[in-house]
Amino acid sequence: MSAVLPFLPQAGAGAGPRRGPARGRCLVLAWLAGDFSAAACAHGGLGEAWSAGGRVRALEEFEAALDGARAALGYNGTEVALLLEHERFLHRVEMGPALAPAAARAHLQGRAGRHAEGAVWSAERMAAVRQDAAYVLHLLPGPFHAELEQILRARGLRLSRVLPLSAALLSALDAGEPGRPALAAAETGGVTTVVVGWPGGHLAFTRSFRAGWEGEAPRVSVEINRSLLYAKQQLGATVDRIRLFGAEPAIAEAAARCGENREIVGAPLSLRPLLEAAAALPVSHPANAVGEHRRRRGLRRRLRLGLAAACWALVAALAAAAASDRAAWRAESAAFQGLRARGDALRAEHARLLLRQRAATADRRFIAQVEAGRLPPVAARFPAYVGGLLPANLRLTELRVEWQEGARRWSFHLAGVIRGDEEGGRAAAAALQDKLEHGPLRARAAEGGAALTAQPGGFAFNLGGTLFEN
Amino acid sequence: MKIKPLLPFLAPAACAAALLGWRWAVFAPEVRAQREARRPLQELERETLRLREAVSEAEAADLGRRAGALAAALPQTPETLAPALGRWSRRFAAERWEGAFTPGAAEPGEGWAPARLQLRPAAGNDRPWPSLLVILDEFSAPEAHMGLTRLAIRADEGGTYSAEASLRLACAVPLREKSAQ
Repeated sequence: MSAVLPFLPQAGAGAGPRRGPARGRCLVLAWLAGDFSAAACAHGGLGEAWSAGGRVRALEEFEAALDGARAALGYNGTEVALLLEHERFLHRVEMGPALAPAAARAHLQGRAGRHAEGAVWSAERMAAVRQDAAYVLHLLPGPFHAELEQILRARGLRLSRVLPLSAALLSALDAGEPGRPALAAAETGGVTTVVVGWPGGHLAFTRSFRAGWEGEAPRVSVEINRSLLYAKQQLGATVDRIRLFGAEPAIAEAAARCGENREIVGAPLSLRPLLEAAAALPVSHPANAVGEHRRRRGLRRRLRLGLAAACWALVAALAAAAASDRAAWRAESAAFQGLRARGDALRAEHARLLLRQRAATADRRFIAQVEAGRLPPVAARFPAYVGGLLPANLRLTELRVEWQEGARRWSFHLAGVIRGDEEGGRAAAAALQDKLEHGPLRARAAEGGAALTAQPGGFAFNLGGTLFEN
Repeated sequence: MKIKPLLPFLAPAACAAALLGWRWAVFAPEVRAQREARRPLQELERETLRLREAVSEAEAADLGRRAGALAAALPQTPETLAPALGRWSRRFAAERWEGAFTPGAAEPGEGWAPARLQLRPAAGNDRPWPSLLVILDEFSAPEAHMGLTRLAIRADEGGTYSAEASLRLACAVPLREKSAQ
């Protein structure tokens, strides 16, 4: 099924289809229940009409009539508008709740989807009072539409509009007092189409019934009268203008039955005004059964083109990346060739630098070892330092200082003689110990500190300890 | 299934697949293999650059000069201490001290040779203490390249000094051998 989402006008009489002349060149075909007429439209003006001599019912006959029309009219454009009344072009009234446009489209899509063959469709909202919303669905069966398109495509033509007769009739109601509904009816091939609407193209409702205006004039007049009553009932307004296009008996019968206080104009059905009306209706008209289909198809085509362009852009990006990588690889290879060319020199330089590095490392280690192995000059400087601290009454007999490798510290021992009394001796020993402990060598005396032992003429003095630990 | 409507997508997809296939199946393996083959030479270049930057020519020359000078100033081995000790003995004599060295047994491969020193004032040294301090001060000089590990100074009742020292002297050859390891 060809899924078509129709353009839906807003509800109410004030929102109808936009009207205006068709732009550019267009071949307008009217194929109404076996009658086939055509006219070429250029720059808003319709040329002379051409009609097929016989009845045109099947698509093969349509094909032949189309060729005849093109030959007769000399049309070499591409756009085709088709005013169609055909047993396969169905019109169905659908009632439903008032919904938002998107929801209404979905609702109508579901209804159209019930068509067995799958249909290209459009929907016109009808003015309705008692019902929440009423639509007339125009259903063009998918295979029929496909065949039509194929016939036209084979001739380089594009089907831009397929309009029901009601749309053209409605446009014939243009003249008149605004805000007052009017009725138009026409007979094509034994089928009567009735449309009620407002000037400006706003549809109130449309209906069709099988009745010929020659032989069934009373029935036609009854149905027209019923339509008037229905309009009064539904719209609350009296339809006082009636346009009838068909055989005289039915027009006379309708005038007799419905003409009181109404303006009735009757005339034989002429295809030219309908062709003009069809030419004037835009592609976006809600009754156009293929407008939305074409728009959607164009959108799909553009999407496909965009997607294909994106795919090719991706390919181009990949190709550019590949080219870039290859160029980078070539540059890398060229650089490597240069490296390979000076490989021998590089190896020689590496060997030389390696030797230089090893020699420098060995030299550095050697110097560092000599520096590290040379102890600080503690032992050499200690005698001079202690000599400077000795009080006058103390004379050293032994000085010892030693580096203890295991404990990694310096030890010292001093022995001597102190002259004078005990108190003076102790004061001298304590002073020496204090200077050593608080001096730069930060000596720490052994437990007990300086020892004094009496001896003839004074005291023997002993002091030991460690350095740099206080 | 109709192919024609899909052609606008199938064609770029095929091109993309071909490009990716070439990239993954041909180009990338070739690059990997070539890079693997080139790696040794490139690593050699990197290592050369690193070596070039690690030590400059001037720095290496300076280190070599300093190490050479240092090695020349040191006794070569523990077994060849005599010249150095002889120089020290002459220095003691200049300060009017008499010194007797007793070289110790160095451990194999050890770069420092131990020695013991007995010092006593020479006859006529009337300033033993200041001159001893001069000798000790020279021991502590950096160019002496020795470590004084023990020092004992004694003075008897008569004011006569004697000194005993343990020291270790740097030997160039074993130290250089250890440094080169």
